[in-house]
Amino acid sequence: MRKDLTNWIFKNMGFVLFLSVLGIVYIYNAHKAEGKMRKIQELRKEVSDAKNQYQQIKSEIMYESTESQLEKELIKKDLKSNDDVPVVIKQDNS
Amino acid sequence: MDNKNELLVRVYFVMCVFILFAIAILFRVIKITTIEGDKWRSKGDVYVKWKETKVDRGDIYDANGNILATSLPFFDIRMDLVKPTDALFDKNIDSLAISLNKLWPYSKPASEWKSELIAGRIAGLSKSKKGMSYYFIANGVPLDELEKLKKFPLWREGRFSGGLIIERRSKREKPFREIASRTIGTDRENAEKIGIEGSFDKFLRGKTTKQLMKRIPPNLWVPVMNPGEFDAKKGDDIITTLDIHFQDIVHTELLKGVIAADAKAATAILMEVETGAIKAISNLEKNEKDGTYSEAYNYAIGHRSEPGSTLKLASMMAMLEDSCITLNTMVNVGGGKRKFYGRNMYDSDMHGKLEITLAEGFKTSSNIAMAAAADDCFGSSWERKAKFSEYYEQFGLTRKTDIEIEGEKIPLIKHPDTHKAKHEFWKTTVPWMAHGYEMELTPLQVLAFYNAVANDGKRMKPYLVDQIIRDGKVIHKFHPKTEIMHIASKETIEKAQELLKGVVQSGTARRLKSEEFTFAGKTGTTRIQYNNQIGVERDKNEVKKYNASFAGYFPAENPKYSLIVVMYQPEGSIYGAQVAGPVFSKVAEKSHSFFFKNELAESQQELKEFMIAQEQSGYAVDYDELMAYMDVDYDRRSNSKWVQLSPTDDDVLMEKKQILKSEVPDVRGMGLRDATYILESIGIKVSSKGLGRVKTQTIKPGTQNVGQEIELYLN
Repeated sequence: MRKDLTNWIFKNMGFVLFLSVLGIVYIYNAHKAEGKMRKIQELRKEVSDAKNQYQQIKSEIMYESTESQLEKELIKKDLKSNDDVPVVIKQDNS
Repeated sequence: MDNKNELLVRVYFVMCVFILFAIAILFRVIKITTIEGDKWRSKGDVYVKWKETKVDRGDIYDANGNILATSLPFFDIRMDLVKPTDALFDKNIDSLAISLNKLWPYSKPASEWKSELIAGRIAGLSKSKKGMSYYFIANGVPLDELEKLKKFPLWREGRFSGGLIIERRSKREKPFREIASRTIGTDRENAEKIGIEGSFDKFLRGKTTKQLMKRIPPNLWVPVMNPGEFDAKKGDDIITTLDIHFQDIVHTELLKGVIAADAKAATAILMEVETGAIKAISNLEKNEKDGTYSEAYNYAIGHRSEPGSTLKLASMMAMLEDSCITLNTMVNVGGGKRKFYGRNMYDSDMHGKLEITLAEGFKTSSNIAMAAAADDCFGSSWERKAKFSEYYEQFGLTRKTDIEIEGEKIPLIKHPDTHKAKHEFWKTTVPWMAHGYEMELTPLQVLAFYNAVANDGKRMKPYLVDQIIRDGKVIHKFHPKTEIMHIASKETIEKAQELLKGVVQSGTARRLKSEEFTFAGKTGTTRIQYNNQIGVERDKNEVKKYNASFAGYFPAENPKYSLIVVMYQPEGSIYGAQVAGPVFSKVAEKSHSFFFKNELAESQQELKEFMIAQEQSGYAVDYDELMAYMDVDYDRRSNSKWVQLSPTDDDVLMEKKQILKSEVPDVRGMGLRDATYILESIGIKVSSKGLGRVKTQTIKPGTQNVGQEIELYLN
């Protein structure tokens, strides 16, 4: 009986080897995938940090560039907003 | 027999072994699940767990894509003073203290930082004081400062040798700070959410789902079922109708005005006439401690009070609608003081005139003129009084605006049916209602009425939120809503508009008139907190309190925007024309020039440049229309159905685009609709990716057409 089993294994050695290789590939693959996910997460954090930083700077600029803030800053440099209403120039078609 | 017995013994033996084995397994199962259960389960939790996915809160934008509220990360900084080795600590402590002082010059001098950190470390090492391995450095540090902190001496050695502890938390930020902050709302922990943050919390918050997650060391959790999807989800974005440019104008002018008037509070709302979209909304309240003003309460939406003279427009329109008077009807104004059913009524000054026309009365904002005319019209019977109230209903003044934000009250407009029984509809009610008393409305409710008058009688529902965006797609678009098609007859509306123009031309607001731009509106100076019930005499010594307001629209012809400004309890000057009016005219003036500069010129110019700069092709008829709209000169060289556009130095060349049935055409530069139409009409199957115009196509132009499948990539 034992002999039969041994014979059977020997006969299918190719398949057994194939299975082990498959197993190794599977494990390698799983590790690699996990590694990738970790990498993705790292990059994603970097991206979101950069995005947040961008957002923060942009918010700051948006606030600083509102008319009222500009006016405040420019008054220090003796510049004032022009209170005159813009003049509309029309072409005379006649 | 022996054989049989032996066989039986063996069978029983085997059976016993099986049973014992089974019992052993059962015992083990029970032991693992119950006795050792908690231990194993907690072990499992380290690797696999049901976890709620974290969702970042959505952002709130203005109409032009400026961010009004967003979540930004902030960091709490602590230091483990015990962790660094002596050598490392001693070497770096001086430079660390200097760096800290440089980053935050107003915090502490470097020497103080140094001595405190050293003292803390000694206390921590000798264990004489607790908490030294979690020593407070700062709270709420923004990202850019954190980046610098991480590079400081000692701390750059990393958490385990340098001892820097960073704790991340997310905080709601409003880039424009005070501007419209009460309307945008707040979202804080342990507090009720208000404003848009509150009303649209369901969308902003996003959906959290519970998922079975597994841990990938060191600290990444991915869903077991589909490990690819471990994206951080985001709540929906809200695009409001607010426009930061207008909002800035309104806020700045209101702030100037409220400081000048030294009022208790003030509010202003700017609304687009045609749609009812609210462009700006500001609420300022005085801080009694230091006299500064800040957005503390949404007066515009939540504060109901007697509107006073601004609502004379409603009684005037009721009378016009009823045709019981004309604008030239003469009324007895008694020189500025007249008794109604035993109660005195005064005009703003003792002008000495005895009889004036009703139009004159409106322009000069005579209380008595409006009261006397209304009493003649509607005071005669309960039916007439009811009729008077029903006109207010017809004008939409009895309904809520149903603005998206919480806290609006139903307007209080008296009606004999509801107030007679409670003995609250007195003989004086009609004359007092006629000049805006014995009723309560919020500023927004008053504005909605003025907006309807400006919009030729069509009442629009005021709204604040324009779109809800999920994952870059519009999931909800709010369209302008007409509430009442005609609040009054065409004639009445036209007369009302003339009257409002008259107030600015030659009435109470004439000093605000400008040569360059026009507006129409009505002043209001409202005595508040006094009882005008019959029999209750006025206390002569009581300090009189007023609200000053101005409601109207601009330009006077073809109005674009309606605006209301209310000042609550100004000190010094109390008149609407002097306190609220200047804010109105200043906002109108600034909005005006902005409006003309931008909306006309910019949109056309942008489109023009965009069109001219690009090489593209498409359906000729569409382009003819587009070019005509943009007023672009172009050189049309062909009458073909499909054309190719190429920019030259000074204009655009429009040439024939050849489409052959036998070969795959070049559809690059076309919109998807045109490209699909052409390709499918010659038997090619189309699939596409992206947005915009076709950038590349998978089959080369000129290849023989055999009914292939083509993929288009858009940019």
